[in-house]
Parts: sequence; C-alpha cells; structure tokens
Amino acid sequence: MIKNLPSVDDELIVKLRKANENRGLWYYYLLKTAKDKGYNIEEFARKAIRKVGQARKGQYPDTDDLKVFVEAFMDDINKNLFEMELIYINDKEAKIEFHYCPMTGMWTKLTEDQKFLEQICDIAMDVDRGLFDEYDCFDFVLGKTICEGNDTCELYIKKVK
Amino acid sequence: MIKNKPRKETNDVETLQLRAASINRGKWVFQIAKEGLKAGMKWDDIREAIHKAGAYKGYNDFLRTSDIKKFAKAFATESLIKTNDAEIPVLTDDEFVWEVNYCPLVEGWLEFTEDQDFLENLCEACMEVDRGAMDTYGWTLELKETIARGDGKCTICMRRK
Repeated sequence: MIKNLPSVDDELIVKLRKANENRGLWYYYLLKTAKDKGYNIEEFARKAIRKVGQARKGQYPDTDDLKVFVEAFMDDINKNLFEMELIYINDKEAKIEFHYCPMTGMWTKLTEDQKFLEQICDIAMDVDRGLFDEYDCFDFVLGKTICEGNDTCELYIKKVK
Repeated sequence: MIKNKPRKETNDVETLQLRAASINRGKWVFQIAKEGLKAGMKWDDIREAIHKAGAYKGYNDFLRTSDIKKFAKAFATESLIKTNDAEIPVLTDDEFVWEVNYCPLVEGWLEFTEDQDFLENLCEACMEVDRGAMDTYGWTLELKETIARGDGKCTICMRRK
C-alpha cells in the first residue's frame, strides 16, 4: 500500500504541488497509452526522460563540491515540494529522503497497478540519473521509493572524483 | 518566427515558479513525444494520451457545470491568468474565449528545437488536453491562433453546442 501524504500547506507549495501532479497526469497517460498500444516504454521513455535530466544541468552549479551541489539540489522550493530531509552529508556521500512525491500523488489516483506504478516511477527517476550523467564527480543511486510502498524515497549522491 | 515573451509578472516569484513548473512539463512532453515517435508512435497516439489527461481534468479538476460563464470563472484562476499572461476577450452564455499571450510549454520546447513542423504538431497534440476536457461538458473547442504557429498569441474558443 502506497503512503504518500503531503504535510506542507504553504500556499505557493500547494500550487506547485498541483502543477507537478499535472505533469504526473500527462506523463502517466503518455506512458500508459504507449504501453497499451504495444510500444516499449522501457526503451523510448527512459531515453526521453534521461534527456530531460541531462538538459537540467544548466540549473545547477558547476561544482565538484558535494555540499555546494546538495545545497542547490535542496533549495527552499524543492525542499518543501518534495518534503526533503537531509539524513546525512559528509565529504563522500549525502543521503536525502523525500517524504512526499507529487507525481505519485497523481498516479495513485489513476491506477492501483503496483507493477506499472513502480515502472513509471523508476523511469521518471531517469530525470535525476540524466542530471548526474552531466557530473563526472558525482554518482546517483536511488534507494527505496514511496512507489514501492516505503515511507520515503532515498536518494544517495556520492562523490566519485 | 515564434514570439513568446510574457508581457507581465516577469518579477513575480509565484508566477515565475509556476511558469518554471509548466516549462518543465513541456520538456517532459517534448522528449516523450520525440522519442515515442522515433520508436514508432504516431501523432494520433500522442493526441489520444493527452486527450485522456484532459478528460481526467474535466471530470476531476474543473468545475462541473452546464454554465459556461461559471466554468470560465473557475477555470481562469488568478494564478493561471498570470502564468499564461492570459485574457478573456469574450464571455457570453454560449462562448468563452481564452487568449494566451505566453505559453510556458512552448518556452520549454524552444530549448530543444526550432523545427517548426514539430512544434506545431506538438502544440496541436497538447491542445487535446482542452479538447478532452471540453468533451466531458459536451462543448466544442476551436483553436484560432497559436503561439507555436507564430501568431503571437493563442486564441482558444470554447462553445456550448
């Protein structure tokens, strides 16, 4: 059973949450329709979302300092939108947990197909994998996710160079 | 040549954040459509998917009413007017004209391409979201001008049959 309840009620965040749920709505139907028609979403949608992620590099600092990067990744808006919590950070690794996912918030209104939910969640996370493709010095690892039924999504950012 | 610059609210934090969220949605849709087409999807498949998203919005997000004036007032929130630099030049018992002077989706797309045919096809497909919503009311939608075609604004006429 997926637990995914927001707790931040700031007016701007509520509006942005709705905007992100709307992205989740479009994304869901694009992938669901494609899959139902027999197209291989693993192949084309992963490529698509990865490209979106790679294009996000310009929005983040050109740095090899993990702390500087994490500060930008967890700016005030993202922090409140995804209810992010910095579990730890040291010179080699940071662990961030998301307590709410607005895309999942929409998907769970549309389906209870657990397998499909996990698939589209993992494909959507290619947006972060794509961003980290652009950094030689950082690796990104996705741990447990809300979509799998966990309380939070775990993101690990590792310094590799 | 596409003209797509907001005339107002260029320093308003909330509007800029909401525009950024829609630009992001535009990028996701752009890459999914682009890679989907390469994988064999047809524009009609993409239109069908977005139409379904629109039907969801019609039934779940928008005011359920047979009064197009009431619908227009609920649809055109202050945030949406500011985000799209929009106006309502006509509002009668039978017709609601929504004029958009800035499209954040188009802004997102222009970061990836200048291919005019692709932009126009993608714009057409994305307008299925409003057609899908209109179908749930039994109303029609006519797209008279579009930013993606270089008209400088989108004029969307929603009418009771």
